[in-house]
Amino acid sequence: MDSTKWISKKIALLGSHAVGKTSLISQFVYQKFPESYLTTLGLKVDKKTVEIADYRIDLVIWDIAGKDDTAQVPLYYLKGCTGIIYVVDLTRPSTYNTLDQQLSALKERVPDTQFIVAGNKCDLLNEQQLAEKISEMPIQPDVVTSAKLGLNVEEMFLQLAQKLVHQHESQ
Amino acid sequence: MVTETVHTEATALNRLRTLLLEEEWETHQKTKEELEEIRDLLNNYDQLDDKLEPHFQQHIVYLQDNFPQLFRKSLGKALERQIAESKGEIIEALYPIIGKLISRYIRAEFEKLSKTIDDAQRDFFSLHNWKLRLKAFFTGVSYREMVMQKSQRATLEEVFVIENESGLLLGHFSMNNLLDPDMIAGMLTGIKGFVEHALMEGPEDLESLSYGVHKILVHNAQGVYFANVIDGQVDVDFKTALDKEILSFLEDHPIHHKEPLTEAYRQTLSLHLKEHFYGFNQMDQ
Repeated sequence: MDSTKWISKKIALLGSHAVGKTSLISQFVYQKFPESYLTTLGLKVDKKTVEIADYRIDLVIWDIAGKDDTAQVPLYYLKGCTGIIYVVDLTRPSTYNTLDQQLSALKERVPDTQFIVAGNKCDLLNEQQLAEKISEMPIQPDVVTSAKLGLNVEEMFLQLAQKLVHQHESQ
Repeated sequence: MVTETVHTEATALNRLRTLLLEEEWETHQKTKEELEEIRDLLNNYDQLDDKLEPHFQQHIVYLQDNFPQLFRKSLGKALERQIAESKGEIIEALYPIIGKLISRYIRAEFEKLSKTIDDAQRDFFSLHNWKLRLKAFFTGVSYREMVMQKSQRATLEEVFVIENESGLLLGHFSMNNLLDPDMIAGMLTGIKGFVEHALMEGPEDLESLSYGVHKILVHNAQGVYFANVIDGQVDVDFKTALDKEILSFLEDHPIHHKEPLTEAYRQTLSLHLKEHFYGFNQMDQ
């Protein structure tokens, strides 16, 4: 492996509390779904290496405690982030009602950052309910996931990694 | 004639009794039947089980949910009493474990001490030894105490060079790789950011973190910080020597990191760190 094509990137998962950020990371990094809910205090950092084309990317994943308003997330947690996954709970409209405002505010605070919006907990809805919920959202999610079933979890992180590689190549 | 009259009276009396006591009689019969039913129920365990099961279940769930509140006091007292009464047994049970830990620790410490004293004796005619003796003479601290102090001297275990903003690890040197340095770098930056922004007023920076016998000394530089993991007692001399060494490193290898961070950059910096800090613990501070 050409060591100039082995890169490290800091990414973060944001969103309201209990939307499944930690579970998504746990499913992606350890292939496990934590059955009991433990709220994240402050911050937890994990790491996973993925390969995209001929790049090897160390994703250093910051799991940041849930906040309904992203303005409350300290800037020192966000600085240096090249990618952000904004997670919403598809069964709780309060987690996505202001999604457009939350994303705009975030893009102002951390410009040049790649974003992905994930609608999590799709396993709790049937097809019709899912379609209704998505149509209600102010911004359509880039990916619909289930941390519990492991549905689209890896794909979501790889999608972000892909964006990071594109950004890296264009620099 | 008389007999006929008596018969008529008896019939009338019976009718009157029936009329007057009919209601009580019915109640009596009903009560008797219900009593029979209850007796049957009590004697038939299967039926009784079916009736009581839901109530028991409900009560069990209630007890499970409220166990700590309901029994905290009594349990606490019972445990206290049990511990007070069984001190001997508890010590007996823990003794082998604690004993082994203590003896292992003491053995390791003695080994270290004995090695240091051996080294000191072996180096009796060395320049370092005579410097130590002269220092002892002028400072009034005994030579023996100085050798002891040397045995507890701090040692540099790991050096992390971390980008301030992102918390990404730019370079790392370790005497014994224990944990994933990327995760440590991220968590350290999170903690540092939290402490500096939430707890400190003004432009102060976090300088150190302690855990057990380890200490992390933080040295802030332009855009990056050095997190140095130390084992043992850190004194001013050690800290000064380390700061001096970091400044000398930055002079030799200025860090001008700009995105993106590649493994090639990290490997080069880590190599420089190894070359520079490998012999730090052998240096005379």
